[in-house]
Amino acid sequence: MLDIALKNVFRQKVRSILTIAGIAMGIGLVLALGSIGEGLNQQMAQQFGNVGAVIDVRDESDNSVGISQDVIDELQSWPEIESVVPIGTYRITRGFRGGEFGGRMMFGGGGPSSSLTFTGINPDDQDYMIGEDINTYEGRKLDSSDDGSTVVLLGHSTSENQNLNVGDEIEYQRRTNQTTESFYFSVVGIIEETGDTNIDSAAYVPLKTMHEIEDDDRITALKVKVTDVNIVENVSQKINDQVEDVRASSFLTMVRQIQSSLETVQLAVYGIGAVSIIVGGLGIMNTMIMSVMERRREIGVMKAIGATTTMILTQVLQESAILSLIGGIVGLTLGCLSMTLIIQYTSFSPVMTPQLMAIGLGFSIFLGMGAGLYPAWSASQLDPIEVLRYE
Amino acid sequence: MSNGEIHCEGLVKIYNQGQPNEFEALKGIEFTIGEGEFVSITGPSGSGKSTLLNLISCLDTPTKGEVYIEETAISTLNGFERAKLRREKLGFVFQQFNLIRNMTSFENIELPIRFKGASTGERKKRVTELLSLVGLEGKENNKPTELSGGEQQRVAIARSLANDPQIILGDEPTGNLDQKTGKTIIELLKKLNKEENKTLIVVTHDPGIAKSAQRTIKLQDGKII
Repeated sequence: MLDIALKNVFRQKVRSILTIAGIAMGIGLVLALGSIGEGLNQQMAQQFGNVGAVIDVRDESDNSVGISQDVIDELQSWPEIESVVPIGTYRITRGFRGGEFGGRMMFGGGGPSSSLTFTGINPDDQDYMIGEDINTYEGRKLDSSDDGSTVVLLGHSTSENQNLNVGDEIEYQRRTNQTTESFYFSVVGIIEETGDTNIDSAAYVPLKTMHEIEDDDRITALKVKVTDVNIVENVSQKINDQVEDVRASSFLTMVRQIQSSLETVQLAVYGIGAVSIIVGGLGIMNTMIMSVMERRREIGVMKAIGATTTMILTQVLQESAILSLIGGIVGLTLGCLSMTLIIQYTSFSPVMTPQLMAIGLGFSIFLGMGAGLYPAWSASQLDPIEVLRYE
Repeated sequence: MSNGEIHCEGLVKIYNQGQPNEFEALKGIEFTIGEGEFVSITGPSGSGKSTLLNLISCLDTPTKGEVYIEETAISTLNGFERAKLRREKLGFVFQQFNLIRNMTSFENIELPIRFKGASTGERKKRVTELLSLVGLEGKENNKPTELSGGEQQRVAIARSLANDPQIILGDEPTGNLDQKTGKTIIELLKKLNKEENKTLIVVTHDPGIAKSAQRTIKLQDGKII
C-alpha cells in the first residue's frame, strides 16, 4: 500500500512540497545548529583534552621561597596522586641571537613577541609534560644528558612568533644586585603543533641547568597528576586544605565551567530548533487534515469495499511519514550544505556526526507519525454511509 | 452450506432512538434471497431502500433483528470481520461509480484484492481476467476521468468482482447513465447472474430493471408490500 500512499502525497504537489520545505527547514536548522555545537565541543576537547587529570600547584609562600621538597614528598605519598613534576619558571629579559644571521636579535618595547618564559623541567618528565605521542618536527627533544647544558626545546608558536629555528640561541640574563651575566641557550628542537597553548607557546629548559645558573634550587610550581580524572577537583581541594603555602588549581575546573555554559547555550539552541520542527509538524498535520477532508468520499468507498480501519489508519500515517521523511532527507542535505558554507566562509569547523544525522532523520519520522496520528485516526473513523450519502 | 444466500429476520431500524426526531426507517423486514437469484428492491424515496441495503452491506447495524449472509449472523462480527466479509463475500456497484480518481482502471479493480493481501502476480492475473470479462481490454491504464460513464461503471463492476464474491449489491447502478448505456450495464449484471450464478440484489427506481429481475421486493414506509 506504500505506492498508494506515495501517489497520494504527490496528488497536491505544491502543497506537499511546501509542507516538506517546512519540515526540511526545521530539521536543517537543528542539524546545522547541532553540528556547530558538536564542532565547539570537539574544539574544546582538542584544546583542553591534554589537560586531563592534572593539577597545577603554584608557590604562594611569603617572599616566594619556593615549594619545599617536603611538600613534594608529601604529595607523592598520597595514593590518589600518580606523579609530581617539579617546574621552575624563569622570565627572560633579554633577546635572542639568531644563529643564521650571526648577530644578536634584540627585542623588547611593546611587540607581542617581547616576552618569553623558560619552563624548567627534568628532561625525564618531558614526555609527561608534553605528551608521549608528541614529537618534534625539527631537531630533538631534551634528554637526561642535557642536565646542566644550556639547551631549549621550543613549542610551535614560540618558534613561529619569535622566528627561531634549531641552532638559534636565546639569551638568558642572570641579574644580581651588582652584575648581569648572560647565558646563551641553543634551540635543540621544535615541538609539532599540539593545539594546546600551554605547550605551543612554551620553551622548555633543563631544570638542573637553571638551578645551577641561578644557584638556587627553588621549585616555583608543580604539575600533579592524579590517578583518575574524576577526582581532580577533590584532590585539588585537598591540596589547598592540607598543604600550606601553595595554591592548587585545575584547568579542568575551568573547562568544566565552560562546558557547562556551552551546554546551556546548546540547550537553548536545540530549543529553538525544536520549536521550528514543531512548526513543521503542525504543517504536516494541517496538510494531512486537508488531504483527508478532500478524500472523505474515497476513504468511505475504500471502507465500503473492504478496507479495514487499520488499513486506512496505516495509509494516512504512511503518507505523513513519507512527507516528513522526505522533509528529513532534504533537511539533512540543507544541514550538510550549510555546514559546508560555514566551513568555507568562516574559520569555524562544525562537525556532522552520524548520531546527529540519525537524530535528525529519526526525529522527522517520529514527528511525521505524531503529526499524522490525528488525521489518520479521523480518516479511519469516517462512516462510509455518511460520506457516500452526502459527499 | 449455501453460497450467496441472504436472510433477513425481523429487521427494524430506528434512527435517533429516544430523541424527538426519532424515525423508524424499517419496521420489521423479513425475506430470504437464495443463491443465484436476481432480486430488485424498489419503492419511493424514504421507503427504506437505502437503509435496507446498508444493513445487507454490513455498513450499518439493525436496531432489532438480524441479517444472515451465507448463514453468518452479521451482528456477531467485529469491525475487522465485517470489512473482511465486505471485501470477500460482497461486491458493490454504486450509482456514482465511486472509483478512486487518481487511480487507473487497473488499480481501481485491484484494490479489493490488495486489501486481501494477494501477491502482485495474482492480482495482475485476476485484473486482466476481469477487464476482459467487462469488455475493457486496453483501458487498464486510463483514469476514471478518461472513461465514459458506462466504462466507469464497468470498471466498478469489475472491482466488485475482484475477490469473486457470490453476492453483488447494486445501488441504482444505472441511475447516472443514459438509457442505452444503462441497458448494457444491466445486461452485464444479468450475464454475471446467469453465467456465474451470482446472487444479484439491485436497489432501483428503474421499472425496466425491476422487470428483468426474477423477483421484486417492494418497500413502502419501511415495510414490504
